[in-house]
Amino acid sequence: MRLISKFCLLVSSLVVFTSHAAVWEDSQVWSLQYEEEFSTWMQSNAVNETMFTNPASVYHGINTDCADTSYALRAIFAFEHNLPFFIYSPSGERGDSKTINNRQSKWDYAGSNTKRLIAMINEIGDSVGTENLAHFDTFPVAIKNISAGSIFMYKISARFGKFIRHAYNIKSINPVGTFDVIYSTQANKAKGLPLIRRKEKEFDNNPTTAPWGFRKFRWPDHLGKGLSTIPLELGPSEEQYTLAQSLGQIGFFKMIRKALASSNESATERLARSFKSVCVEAQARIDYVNQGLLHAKETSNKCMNYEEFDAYSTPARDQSLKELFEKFKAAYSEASTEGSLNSVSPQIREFSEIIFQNKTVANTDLLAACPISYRPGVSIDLAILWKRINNNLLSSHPNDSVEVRWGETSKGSTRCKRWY
Amino acid sequence: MSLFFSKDNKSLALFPLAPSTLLNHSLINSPETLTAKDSLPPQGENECLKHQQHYSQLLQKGSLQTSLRFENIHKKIGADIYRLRFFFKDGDEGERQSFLVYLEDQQANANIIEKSTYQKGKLFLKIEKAQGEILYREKGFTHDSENKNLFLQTINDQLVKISGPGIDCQF
Repeated sequence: MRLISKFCLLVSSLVVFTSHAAVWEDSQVWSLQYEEEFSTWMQSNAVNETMFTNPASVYHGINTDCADTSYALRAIFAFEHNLPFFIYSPSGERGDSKTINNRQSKWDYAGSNTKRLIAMINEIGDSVGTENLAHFDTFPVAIKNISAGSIFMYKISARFGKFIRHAYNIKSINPVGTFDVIYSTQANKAKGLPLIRRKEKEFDNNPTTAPWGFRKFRWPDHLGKGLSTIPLELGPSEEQYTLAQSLGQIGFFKMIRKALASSNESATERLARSFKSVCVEAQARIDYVNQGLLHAKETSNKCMNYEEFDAYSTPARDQSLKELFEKFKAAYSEASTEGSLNSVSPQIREFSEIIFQNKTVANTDLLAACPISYRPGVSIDLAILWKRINNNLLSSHPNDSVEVRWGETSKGSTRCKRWY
Repeated sequence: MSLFFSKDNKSLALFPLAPSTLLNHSLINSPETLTAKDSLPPQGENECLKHQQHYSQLLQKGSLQTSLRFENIHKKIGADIYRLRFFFKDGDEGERQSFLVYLEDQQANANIIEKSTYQKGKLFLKIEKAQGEILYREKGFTHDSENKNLFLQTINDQLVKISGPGIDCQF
């Protein structure tokens, strides 16, 4: 009987212990060494596009948009290294609950510590946007302190007084000073898709004002405090805003590239990179246009309401694609002006001439290099796409047919309301 | 190895690396850059107090043009404490108004019980209209003008944070 009582006491004390468990116990403290390790971890294969969607991944079930991904990556690293993870409480700081952190027991219901972590991250994702990251949980960094693990954020004006904001996580910095980034979007989150990776990203939204631009996560002790309390070794600095204002967009990002590069990028490399970026984003348009087409089909092409239009229209993304083409064109013009076109690989030079100078070059397979197969039986090359974009023939309206969306025709354009 | 004590001595940060050697691709040679120390807002307590007074007055008078970026309201209705949160999520084509309702448990943990986008949800509206005691109200605003782009945060109508070009104040 005494044995049974002791056994019951042991079981009940275990139950009490586990029913108020932290997400994880932090036995370590943040340091420069751990920031270096965070940077190394970001560059590793552990951080990959399918880390939240692969059923075999321990982090399967995490579902994030752009800001959420930044929080998730930081939380996962802290979890794996028994470090504290604290963010400013998105729902308010009344009483003792000033932060969301790893020591809280509110996710006990989820089960194991990994499942509690996933639950915590998903709840954070429901509660925050880039403005939380920008105003409370990160700080701006000096140019020389930009590294893998840093975040680049921007805010731009959209139509009708709205804003578009985004956060990219820097996975690594390429030798020529471009960025390998990993991120997500609201549309990605809604569909439960893998994270998005762009290996040769050039940022082009000039951070002329705080709290945007290049940033890093604050340590728990630095939450709610001024920049001057952050150790200089971590690189707190507002220099990027002054520089962005004085240098302008092109000058600023040229300076960034130069500062972070360890090798020079040749004209060939630059043009090849521009070509690849345009190709990747042009092909990505196929998916998100198709999402709109599918929804239109499922709803018998009923005119979309504001929410549906917001989910499936593509004006900002189409504008970004146009800007990428223009950047490619500028790179080509610059190479031409500098007299370095002769050093550019013949294939890339020919592709550039076909796209931007309407040249017809024999034995050049631009279509094979980057086919835009946007509907069954139809595939166009970048030259045709650029012509349509440059003549404003593409449609961003999700009630338009696939032919109209891709500028193949304007006949039969939708009469449904264009919400913005 | 040197030891660094944080301002409140509550944590210890180890710096096995010499300062500023964190990156292999390190220092910029560009003459346009500033030193890190030079490029932090030169904020003294007096400066911050002046900003606090100035902007508090403007907010009270309602003469500062602002855009509400988020609001958190904690409301006690009977024995229950709800939290209503309004903020902006980031969409591919632009921001979206988001509305959350939380219910606090016995440990004062706030658990989400309703999420809605674009418009307030049914429960949000119900709690908003219900009779109850407001325990806490937090707001975040931006003030955009030609000269300044400021972020201001109030808690229970008291200004607690101002940040922007050359301003980095917490109260």
